[in-house]
Amino acid sequence: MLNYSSSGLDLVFAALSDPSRRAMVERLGRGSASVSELAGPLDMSLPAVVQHLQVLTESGVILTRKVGRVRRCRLRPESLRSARGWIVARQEAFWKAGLREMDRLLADEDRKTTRKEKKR
Amino acid sequence: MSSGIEARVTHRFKASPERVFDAWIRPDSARRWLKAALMEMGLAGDIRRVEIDPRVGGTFFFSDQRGDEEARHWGRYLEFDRPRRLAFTWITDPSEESKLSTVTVTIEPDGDGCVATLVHEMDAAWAEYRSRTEQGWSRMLGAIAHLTDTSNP
Repeated sequence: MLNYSSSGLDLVFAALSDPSRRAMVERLGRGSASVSELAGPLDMSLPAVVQHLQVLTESGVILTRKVGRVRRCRLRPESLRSARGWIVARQEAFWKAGLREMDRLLADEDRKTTRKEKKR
Repeated sequence: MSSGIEARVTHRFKASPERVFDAWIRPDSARRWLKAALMEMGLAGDIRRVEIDPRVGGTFFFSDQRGDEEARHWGRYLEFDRPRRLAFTWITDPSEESKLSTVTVTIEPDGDGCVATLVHEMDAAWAEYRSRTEQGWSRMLGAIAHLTDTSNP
């Protein structure tokens, strides 16, 4: 029904399901950052940060690049846009189906009323 | 207010605005449309509870059985202007994380029927629920909305 690659989206949603990773993503929304800059405000070990960054990289939410001895990270906004498109399309399908059924219900009632009127 | 993840749907009815408005707040109708909408999502649509207190500030509560779990949908009517406009919060908790959103239905007369426009603001933050919006799902939607808006070409 929807033309979004579900495996890619699963990875994006899984990546965003963790509060520390969301904090990193929000930080990267303000511009690229080094691994230590990302780790700064978080209360966790550097290896833990690196592990989170790996999940974010594999999901396609961020890109990392080594500049000299420093690894820098930046956001891939297109990955979030596809997640957004999927959420919206799914919710629209939900309400569309609901409205269609409401329409059917009202049409059913109209038919019943017409039958009653004919009987009279 | 909206930074916007927004679903928008319109539907034309061959029925009066009053009947369409009432279809939103009648329990028998809610059972039917909710079942159809849930089935569209690939769920069984096994509706259990439907409770509606149709007035501004009134609440509604729906639930459907999903295996061992009873999934809940509830909200509060924010605007109640029959037959033109209905707005409500729409909260669901199929998972451990709660979502908060608002739905506005506008009904305009159109020939022998009417057109209903539904706008679902999926990352709306209403003061009443501020603490709730700090939770996971809403935060995630918020992050997606914010980052995709600021990075739009």
